[in-house]
Amino acid sequence: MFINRKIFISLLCLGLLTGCWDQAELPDYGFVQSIAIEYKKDRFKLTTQFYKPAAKIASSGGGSDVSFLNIATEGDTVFEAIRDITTHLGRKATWGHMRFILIDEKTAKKVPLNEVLEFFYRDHEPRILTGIALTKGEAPKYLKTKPHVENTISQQLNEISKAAGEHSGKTYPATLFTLGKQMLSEVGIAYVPYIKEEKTAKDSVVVAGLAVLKDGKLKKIFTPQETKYLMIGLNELKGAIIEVPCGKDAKDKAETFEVVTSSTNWKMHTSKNQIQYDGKVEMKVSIGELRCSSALDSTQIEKLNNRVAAVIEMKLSQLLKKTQKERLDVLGVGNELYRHKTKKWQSIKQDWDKLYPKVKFNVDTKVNIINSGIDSGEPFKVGG
Amino acid sequence: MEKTSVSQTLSIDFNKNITFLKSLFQGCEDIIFESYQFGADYEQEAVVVYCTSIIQNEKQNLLKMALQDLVSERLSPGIPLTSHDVQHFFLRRGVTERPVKTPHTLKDVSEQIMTGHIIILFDGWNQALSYNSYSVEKRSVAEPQNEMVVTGPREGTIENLTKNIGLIRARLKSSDLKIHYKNAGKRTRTRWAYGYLAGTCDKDMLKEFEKRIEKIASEEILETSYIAELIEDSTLTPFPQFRITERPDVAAAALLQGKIIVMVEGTGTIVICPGMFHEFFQSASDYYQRSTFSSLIRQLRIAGFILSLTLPSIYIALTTFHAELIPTVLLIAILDTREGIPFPAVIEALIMIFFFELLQEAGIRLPKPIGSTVSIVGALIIGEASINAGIASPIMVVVIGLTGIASFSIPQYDFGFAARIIRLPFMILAATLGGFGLLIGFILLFLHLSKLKVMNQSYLGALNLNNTVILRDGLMRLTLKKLLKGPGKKNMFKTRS
Repeated sequence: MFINRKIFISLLCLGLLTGCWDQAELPDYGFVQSIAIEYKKDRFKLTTQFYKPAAKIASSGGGSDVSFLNIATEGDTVFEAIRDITTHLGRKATWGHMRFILIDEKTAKKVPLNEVLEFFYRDHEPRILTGIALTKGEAPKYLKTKPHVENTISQQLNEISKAAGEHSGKTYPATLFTLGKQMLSEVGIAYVPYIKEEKTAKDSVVVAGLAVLKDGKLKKIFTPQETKYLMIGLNELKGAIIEVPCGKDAKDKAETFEVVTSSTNWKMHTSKNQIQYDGKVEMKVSIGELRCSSALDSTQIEKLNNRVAAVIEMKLSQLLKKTQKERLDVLGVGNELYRHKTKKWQSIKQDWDKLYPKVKFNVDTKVNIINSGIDSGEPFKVGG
Repeated sequence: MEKTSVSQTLSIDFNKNITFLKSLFQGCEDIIFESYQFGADYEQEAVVVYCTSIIQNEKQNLLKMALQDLVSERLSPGIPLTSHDVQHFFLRRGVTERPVKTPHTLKDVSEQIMTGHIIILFDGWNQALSYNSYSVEKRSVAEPQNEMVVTGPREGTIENLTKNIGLIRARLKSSDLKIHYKNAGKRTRTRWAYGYLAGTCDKDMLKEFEKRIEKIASEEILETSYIAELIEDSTLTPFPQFRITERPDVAAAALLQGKIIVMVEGTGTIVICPGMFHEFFQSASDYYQRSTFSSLIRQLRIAGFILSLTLPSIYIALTTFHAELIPTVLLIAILDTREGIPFPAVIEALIMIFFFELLQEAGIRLPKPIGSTVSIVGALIIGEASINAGIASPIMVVVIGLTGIASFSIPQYDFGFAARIIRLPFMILAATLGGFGLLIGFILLFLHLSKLKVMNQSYLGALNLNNTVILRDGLMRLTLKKLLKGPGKKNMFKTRS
C-alpha cells in the first residue's frame, strides 16, 4: 500500500508539474488589438497595435492617457514580420483578443487577401470572428487615430463596422469567417467594409461603403447609399433608412422611412439560353419623417407603400445593372446555379463573366407601413 | 494500619471510612467534611461529605432533614437512639424529601461525591446515604448564535443534558424516542446520551453505531464533537460526516428522519449521525419558509459552495492559461489592474486568502468591542491598502472577497471548512495545469466523495439517480404537502416497519 502511494504521488507529480511550460501571467503577454497589413516593394509591412495596460494604482496617478502602442515590423511573409514583434516588445504577442484587421486599398488590389491572411486562418490563436476592413490610403495611420469612447481604436473600428451594418445598412460587417466563406464560394465574390478618414475632422474614421473583392482582389467600391440596396439584394439588411423623394412638386425634398424588417427571396428560372432571377422584397417600415404626404387612411397609406416600393425597386435594379456592366456577380447568382443546377454551372463556370451580364433580373417589392410614430400620419404642422 | 483500597466495601468502622475518604480527597479543598452529633445526648455521630463546587444552590443540611424524619418516629426523650435504629429506619422507610441511594462500596461513595451527591456516613453502619444534589450554574435557554432563523422556534440547547433531552422530548411525545445514557472515561465521568426513534432508525445503522461507541467507552469526552470524531468513518477527509446543531427542533426533525442524535453533559452541541452530503445545504428555516423561496435559496447555497471551492482557481486558470476565454472588454479591465503587480496570480491569490483567513481567525478570538475594529482594519488591509501598495489587484480582491463570503452561505459552518481547504490544492492545480488541472482536481474530488462512507452508507447516496431525495429535498425543497405524504422513501419523515 505504501509503495503504491509512493508511485501514485510520483505519477501525480509527473502529470501535474509538466503543465508549467505554457503557463504565463497576464503581464507576460502583449495583447494584440489589431493589425494593419501593407504590401510594399514585395515585402509585407505590419503595424501591430497592442493594448497598453495603465497600472491603476491610486498613489501613482493617472499615467498616460494613451492606452495602445503600435509596433511596425516587416518581412517577406506575414509570419516572418509577426515573429519580429518580440524583438521590439519583449512580451509574447497573443492574438486571441485581436479585434480588427486593416488592409490598405493598394495591397488589396495587388495581392489576393487569401494569401495575405493565410496565417490568421491557420494559426490557432486569432479568432475567426475578427473583423476586417479595407482602408483608403495607408492602413497604419488609422491605428494612430485616437478612439472616441472605446479604449482603443481597434475596438472602435470593430464597433463601427458592426453598428453601421446593423443600423444603417451602409456596410457589411465582415469577419475572417464571412470573408473566408465568401472567397471559397463558386463565384468568389467577397464583401469587406471600406473605411476612410474624414478630412474635415481630426481623429475621425468613418465607414464609407463596401469593397467588393473578386478572387481575393479588390474590384469595386460601392458608396454607402449603393451598399444599402445591395444589402437588400443580399437579404442582409438589418436596419436602415429609406429616403423617398417628394416627387415633381418639390424636387429637393425627401421623406424618410425606417426599415423594421426586410426579407428578400430570389427564385431562379433557367431555360436553355436564359437565366432569370426573380427577387421578392418584403419590407415592413415605420414612418421616420413626413414632409409632403399624409398617411391618414388606407388609400393614402397604400400610395405611400407603393412610392417606397418603387424607390427600392428602382435603386436595386440600377445597382444590378451597374454590376452586370462591371461583370461582378454580387448577388451570387453563380452560387445559386451551382447549388441547384450543378452540371450546368460546371459547364458555364469558365464563361460566367460573359454570361452574367445577360442574366435577367426582376425585382418585385412589397412595402408595408406598420407604424406612424407618436404623431398622426401627416406632416407636423405649424399653426392650426 | 492496613491499607484500604477503593474497591473495598464500606467498613463498619466509621472512622476508617472517614480516614480513607479524607486521604482520597487530600488536596481537594472543595470537598467538605462536616460532622454532626445527634441523638438524645448527642452520642451518635455522622459525617456529611460533599463537593461544594457542584452542588451550588442546593440545600446541604440534609442530615437534619433526614433526622427530622427519624425524630417524628421516636418522640419520647430519654430513649437512646442507636445506630441500629438509624439503619433500620432509612432502609425500611426511606426519606420524604428526595430520592436517596445507599451505596455500599468506597468506590461508589467517592464517585457519587464527584457527581454531585451529598453523602452521609453514620457511625457503625456499613452503608451511606446519598442524595443527588448536582447543580451547576447554567445559561437559560436562548437562541443559538450560529443557527438563527427568521421565523421558527428560538430555543437552543444549553449545557445541561437533562434539560436538552427535555427540549427534544417535548417535541417528540412518543415512547418510540429512546434515550440511552452512557458515562465516558475515568476522570471526566462525562454523562452523555444517544437517542433515536425506534421503528424509524435503521436497525443495522443503530447496531453499527452501538458497536462503535462500545469501543470508545473508556475515552475521556468533553464535547460532543469528541464522540463524532472518535466514531466517524474517515477522519482525514475535510468533509464532515455528522451534522451539528444546537436547535432542538432540528434534532427532532433529524430523529424523525431516522437519524441518531448524540448529546453530552456540559455542552449544547447535538451531533446528528449520519450526515449526508446534501443535508449540509439544508437549514432549519428551509422548512419554516415558503417552499419556492427555500428551493431558490438552496440553489444559491449550492452555487455559493461551488464558488467558494473554485472561484480563485478558475480565475488563476483563466488568467495564466486561458486568457483568450476572458471577454475582451473584461480582459482589458483586468490587464489594467494586473499591470504592476509583482506576483503571479496564484501567489497573489494565496496572499489574499492568507489575509482573509487570518482576519477570520482573529475575528473569532477577539472580544466583541475589539472585533469591530479588526473588521474595519481588515477591510482596509484586504481592500484599499493592499491595492495601493501594489500587492494585489482590485479584481483579486473581488475574487477573494466573493470566495470568502460564499463559504459563509453554507448553513453548516463545518461544511464550509471543506471548501476552504480544498480550494488550496485546486489553486495549485489551476496554476500548474490550468483548466486541465481543474478537471483533474474535480475528478479526484468526486472519486474521494464517492468513496466516502458514513456509518457504512454512501456519503453521496442521495445523489444516486434511483433516489429521488436529491430532487425532492436536496436541490429543491418541495412543498410539505408532497414531502410529508406518501409511503416509504418518498416521505421526508419515513417510517420503517
